Amino acid sequence: MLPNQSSNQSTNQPPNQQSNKATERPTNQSTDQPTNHSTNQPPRQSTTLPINQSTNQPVNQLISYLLFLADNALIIGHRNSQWCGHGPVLEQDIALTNIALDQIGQARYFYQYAAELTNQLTNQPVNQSTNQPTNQSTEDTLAYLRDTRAFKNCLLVEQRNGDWGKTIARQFLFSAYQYFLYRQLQNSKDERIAAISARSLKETTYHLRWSSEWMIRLGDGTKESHSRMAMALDELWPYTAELFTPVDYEKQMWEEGIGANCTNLHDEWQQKVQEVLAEAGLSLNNVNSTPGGLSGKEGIHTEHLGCLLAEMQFLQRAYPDCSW
Amino acid sequence: MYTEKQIWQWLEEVCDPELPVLSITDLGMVRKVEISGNNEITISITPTYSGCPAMDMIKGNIKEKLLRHGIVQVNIVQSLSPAWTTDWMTEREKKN
Repeated sequence: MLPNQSSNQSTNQPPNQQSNKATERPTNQSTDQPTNHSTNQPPRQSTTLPINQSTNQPVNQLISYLLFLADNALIIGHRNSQWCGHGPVLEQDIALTNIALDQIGQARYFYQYAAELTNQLTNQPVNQSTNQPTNQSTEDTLAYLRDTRAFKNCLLVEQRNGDWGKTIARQFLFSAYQYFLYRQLQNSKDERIAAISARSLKETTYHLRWSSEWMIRLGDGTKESHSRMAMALDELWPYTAELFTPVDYEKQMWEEGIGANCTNLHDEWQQKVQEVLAEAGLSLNNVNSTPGGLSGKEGIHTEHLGCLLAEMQFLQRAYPDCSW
Repeated sequence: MYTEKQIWQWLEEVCDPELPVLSITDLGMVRKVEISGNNEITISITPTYSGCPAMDMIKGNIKEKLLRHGIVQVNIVQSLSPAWTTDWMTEREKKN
């Protein structure tokens, strides 16, 4: 009989019982889990992280922080990859696709680290015949098997692509943030975060330069390009406040010398953004704050993330453990 | 049994899957070759950029190359720090 899964409740996963009823699969008599007819194993699920009962937060804040960094990169990488084959001109199609690839690569490094820590922490029971942990966390389970509530990306990156201008604006606002974030994180006490950030900073430097140039090109372009950029800024600006509002795991990581300081980030970001907007002839008419009640960093997302994940995760969820 | 120099020479023959004229050593992707006391070989490689999709294939090619020379057990680790830049490329590589 397999040892019980962690009995701690996660805010992020539906209880096992509900998903069993939905699929009505025969259950393994000893584990009470639905069985996969071909492998006779319970279906793989995203590992439930141990939760502190009083704060309802994952015990390990470092894992949360890593997921936050990874989710940001994955979601914007995925959004940008949606442009592949649809770019306005070939060179920019390729440029944005390469940027997406950089971002997905960054996500992978953070997910791999998060997965290793999760496996160490949750002490997975071992499958007797393969000698492998039965419910091992991997970069793939983290990317493809978590639902919206478990994703910690900021709201800005999940916003839809819209037209080229909106994609550029989103990229610019976010790359400026990521640039100063990685610049801080390359001095993190955590060596691995420092290494990943130093590697990523080189790429993000280019992302910022590329998107800044496009902001200027379009802002200071034709009447139409200017008005589209103004509209894009109006739509996206409300989501930027969240970037600089630290949540629990960010605060704790900063205290431990591992994470970045949001307030310092804000000043540097503000300066860079204003510089580029000025040159682009764009101004901020609308200084709304984050839509009420939402906090991407804590898993409370706009409706767009659900649709994005439904598409991105469909294949892996429909054909678990599929391979070439 | 095998010298570090010998292994570096063999690694010179492993090419970038996307641009087969370039070798991984000339690209500066191979950081370190270590042979431990009990003849365990560890090779440290670094990606040219975060999203480099060829890393898994390069690992496979390294293992295959060394296997052809009779080396069965080899550990390949990815090292991210210090980050790769074009400074790591040799002159010959840059001409290509």
